[in-house]
Amino acid sequence: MVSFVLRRLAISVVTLIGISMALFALTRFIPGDPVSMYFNPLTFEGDREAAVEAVRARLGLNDPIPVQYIAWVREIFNGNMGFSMITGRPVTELIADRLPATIYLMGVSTVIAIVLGITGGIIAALRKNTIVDYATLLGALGLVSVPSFFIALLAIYIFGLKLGWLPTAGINVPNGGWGDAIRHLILPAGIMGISGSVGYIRWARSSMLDVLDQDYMVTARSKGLSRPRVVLQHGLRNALIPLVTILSMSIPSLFGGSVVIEQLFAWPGTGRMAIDAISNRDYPVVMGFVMITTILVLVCNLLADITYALVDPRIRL
Amino acid sequence: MSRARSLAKIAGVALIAALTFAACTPPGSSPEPGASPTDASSSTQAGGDLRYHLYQAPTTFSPFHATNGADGEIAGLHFRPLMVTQGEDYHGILAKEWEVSDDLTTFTFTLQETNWSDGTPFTSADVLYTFETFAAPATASGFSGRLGGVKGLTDFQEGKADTITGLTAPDDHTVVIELDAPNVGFMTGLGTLIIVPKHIYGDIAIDQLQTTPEFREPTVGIGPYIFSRWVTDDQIEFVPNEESFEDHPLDHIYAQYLAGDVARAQLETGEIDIAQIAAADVDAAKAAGINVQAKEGIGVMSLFSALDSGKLADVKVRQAIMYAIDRQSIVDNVLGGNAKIAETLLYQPSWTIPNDLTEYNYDPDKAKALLAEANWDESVEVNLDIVPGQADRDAVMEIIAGQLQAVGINAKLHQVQPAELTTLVEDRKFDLLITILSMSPVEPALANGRFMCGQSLNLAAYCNEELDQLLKEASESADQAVREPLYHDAQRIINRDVPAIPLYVSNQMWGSTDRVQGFDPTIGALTSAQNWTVS
Repeated sequence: MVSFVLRRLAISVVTLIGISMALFALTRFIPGDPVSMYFNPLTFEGDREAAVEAVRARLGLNDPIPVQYIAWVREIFNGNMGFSMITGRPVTELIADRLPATIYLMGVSTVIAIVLGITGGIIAALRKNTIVDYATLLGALGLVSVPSFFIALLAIYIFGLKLGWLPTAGINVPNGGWGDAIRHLILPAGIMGISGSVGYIRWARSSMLDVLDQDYMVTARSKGLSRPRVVLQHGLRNALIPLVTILSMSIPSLFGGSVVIEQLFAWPGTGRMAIDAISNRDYPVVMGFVMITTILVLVCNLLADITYALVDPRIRL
Repeated sequence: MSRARSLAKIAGVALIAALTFAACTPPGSSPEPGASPTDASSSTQAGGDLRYHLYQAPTTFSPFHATNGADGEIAGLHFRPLMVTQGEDYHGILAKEWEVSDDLTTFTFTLQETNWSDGTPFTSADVLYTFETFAAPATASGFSGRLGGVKGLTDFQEGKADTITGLTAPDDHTVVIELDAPNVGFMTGLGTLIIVPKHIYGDIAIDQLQTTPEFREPTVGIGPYIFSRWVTDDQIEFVPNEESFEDHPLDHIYAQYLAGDVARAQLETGEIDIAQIAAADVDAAKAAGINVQAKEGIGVMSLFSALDSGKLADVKVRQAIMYAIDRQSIVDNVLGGNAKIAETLLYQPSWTIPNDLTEYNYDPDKAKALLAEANWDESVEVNLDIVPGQADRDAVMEIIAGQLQAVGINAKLHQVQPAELTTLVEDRKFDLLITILSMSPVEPALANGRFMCGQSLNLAAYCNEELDQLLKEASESADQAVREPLYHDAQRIINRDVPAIPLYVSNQMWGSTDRVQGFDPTIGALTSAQNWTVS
């Protein structure tokens, strides 16, 4: 088991290094230069070339890319992910500032998605090939087909503008309490939760259908157990085992946020930060953001692998 | 099986723990700063909170590095400039009075006797420190050019002198600036620079100024409202500054970055009090009960071409393009009439414009004739370069593409990312780039850099020595009677040569809710918050 974990760990580390190199090179090959963009030639009054040169030298951008990469890696080991080229703030601080808002939004919407998805999936499975099943699947198909930005705009228009029940954007009013915070959360988390539940519905339905055909379900029923007990204790418990994978796969998105929803609802999270950083060619922020997401994906995959290995010894071979 | 279940439980517990951790305090309510010397309780009158929309994400309070409009707004409220322009007039802020010598080489500012928010007196030392920092090459400020022409500047910038000899302070409340040569436009450029406290920033190494936390969360200001905290990473709380000599009746001002559509929706629901709105949205905003005010724009929406690349070097081709575009129809249909046509890039102040300029009214036949005279090659592709994403510009460029094609110019829309735009400009590879370059409503000489040969701000790289001579002469006099005929001649040249294709000057449209009083966009935006109250 130990050698299995070590092997997986080694693969993860190599993957991480590979991704960081590729990403570092890619960000620098995108057309557009952050420093020359920062000193906009349309408005700069003064000696622009000297200013560009001074800042490029200060940021080490004149060095060859491999040299820059090594310097970047060295700083990472000192806990320094670099500084934003636009605001000059440390990348770690920028991400730490944005992370709570994203975890909060994504966490709540993931919980909504899971609860809705599993409930919907199980109901559809238990009522297989009935009108309930078809309606659930059709609803899910509809939701997955309509882009979330459209649903969001529609919801803002109806609940924010026309009915005036909910705020249109933002995470809270300044100095607001929990009541205000929850009101701000309902639309973005609700929309993401509902959109996100689609995958879970389909997964829970098929997983439940598999379980319902198992011999132990027949045994449970033949023992004379009540239907809820059969479904919840014997069926659901077994159907939920793959939840480990589903959960582990959704954790990176807890930190990565949603670009579209954060932008539409002016949610001060990491997704919005990433988009701004990319359009500003703010290399250090882009690198920091993607590296953190990459590490989370790798760690979660590693955990999932280990869990599977624990569950199914054949995988260790 | 049981191990798998317990792992599932652990994962669940970890998720809940993460959520709980993230949720110790209500989101968006970072802790209030400690007892501030300038808390709201003893305010002059009214009180109340006001929410203001920033159309870009604010990044820094550093006036040296305020590269976007939002930075300029937040820095200009917390710190203050010596003066601002209002309409076609000057209005003193940190400068109580100013005087210009007859030969236009000496400028004397008399400063307000006031204190920084920590009680330290505001003096000429702060002004000198700020100006020198703007000028220092290590600051890499995009405004260093404003000090161009000050005596001793070159020696200072080349490291041969520690100070700029042309910047002096005879006493604590007087600053004197001497120039090498007369320049009537100098005062506006310099006077509107934002001043920072020397006792706070003077000890920070110049090349650290861009990244210092002191410009992220400035502790000392001088404006009517000063920075209190970042509510979120893109929302700022300002509180009244009790040391300020300007009015500060509100309890808080919240300045927040929002996308334009969100801001307009929030104006309607009252979540935002003041926001800029797109010209196309004006009617809908009025119908929703929003107060809409217009401010004349500060620049001409124009098409710039790299004349040095040769494609549009022939003046007849540029004139043909002027005739080929139906600008009146664009103003009426795309901008809802909230704009006016400009026949010259230097469109204000009004006294510079003679009444005999050629009006390039829509005339496709004339355009074709001019192109024929210029032996225009219809196979030459002309890129209409645009950074997409602004509804009015997108629509305008679509229309122009069609109208140019109709007269035989092979025009193609060419979309570029903001980050690619600078490269396009540096490589001189733009054929017709749509952009708006601001001009000063007060002092036309400030725009010299946009027209004179070899200047970095002269985007088109247009050059006409006769025009240079006129502009130079006009900037050496303060007497409007002398300057007016010179400018009239200059305008005729600009009008004839078409260094850029001027399209229209669109009004800036502002919306505010009923509870706001005293907001007048023609006086200023966030930087004139001293005039605002809420009911």
